[in-house]
Amino acid sequence: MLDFDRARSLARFLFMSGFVALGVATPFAAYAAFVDCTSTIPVSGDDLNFDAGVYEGLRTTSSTAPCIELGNGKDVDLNGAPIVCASAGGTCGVAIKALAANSVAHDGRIEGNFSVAVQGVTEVKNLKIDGSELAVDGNDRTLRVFGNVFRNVWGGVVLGDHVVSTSFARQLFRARPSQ
Amino acid sequence: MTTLSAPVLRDNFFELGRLNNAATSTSFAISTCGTTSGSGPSIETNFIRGFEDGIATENCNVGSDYVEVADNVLSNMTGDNILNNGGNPTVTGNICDDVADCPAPTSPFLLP
Repeated sequence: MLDFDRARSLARFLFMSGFVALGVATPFAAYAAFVDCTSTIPVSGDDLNFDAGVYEGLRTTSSTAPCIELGNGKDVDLNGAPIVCASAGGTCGVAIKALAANSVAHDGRIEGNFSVAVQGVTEVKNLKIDGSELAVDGNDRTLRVFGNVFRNVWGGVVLGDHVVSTSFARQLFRARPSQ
Repeated sequence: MTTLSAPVLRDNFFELGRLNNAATSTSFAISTCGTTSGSGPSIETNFIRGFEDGIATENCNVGSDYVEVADNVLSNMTGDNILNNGGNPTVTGNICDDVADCPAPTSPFLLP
């Protein structure tokens, strides 16, 4: 009997410990699964092939620093993962910004109130952008925008040789003839 | 119609435009200028619904613009489906729910 009781107590302890461990560990595990990009992640060496099997996504709270900054000819493959603006009640800066030509951003999601989701990237494809003020701020470097979904944005795509800034687009639309 | 050097915006889906963060300006799906050299941008086979303006072409004072707007589907805009603010757009084959701001040839229709 004693052995049975001890075994039952041990089993109960292990069972309860499991719940406690699960209850405590789960939030931290979920938190740790996001890569913090509040300080910019520069992509200047190898291309960035995001490991969506290990990490849940990237998130930032910065209103100024880009989450990812692409150098000349660099490719970021999000592999379906999101870049999230986690600023409570505020706005974030840029999710993916290219500093030079021939960059690619593709196959992922950008969620939340970014001022600009993708800026100056040469090829933008298969992204789902939801909640940004401006989804794609293109310029003369942005040549291909294919197969994306833009939802709940103020501006979808600004494309062409004009100045890369949301204020410019705002100016255009304020200056438009009234209907 | 599209050269490799010209910007191309193709096969994208736009929906649910909203006010900007300053709540001072309503929305647009695409705003485009021309290029300083070579062919201008092409905006082709995109699906757009629920913005103030769908596709706006602008004269950005960079010389010749020549924007091509072809075979897009646009509906439920509170402003214009296709808004010509300059940029010498060539507009062909688009399908809109308001023929008045969707230059011919076009096939006006209403989405449910």
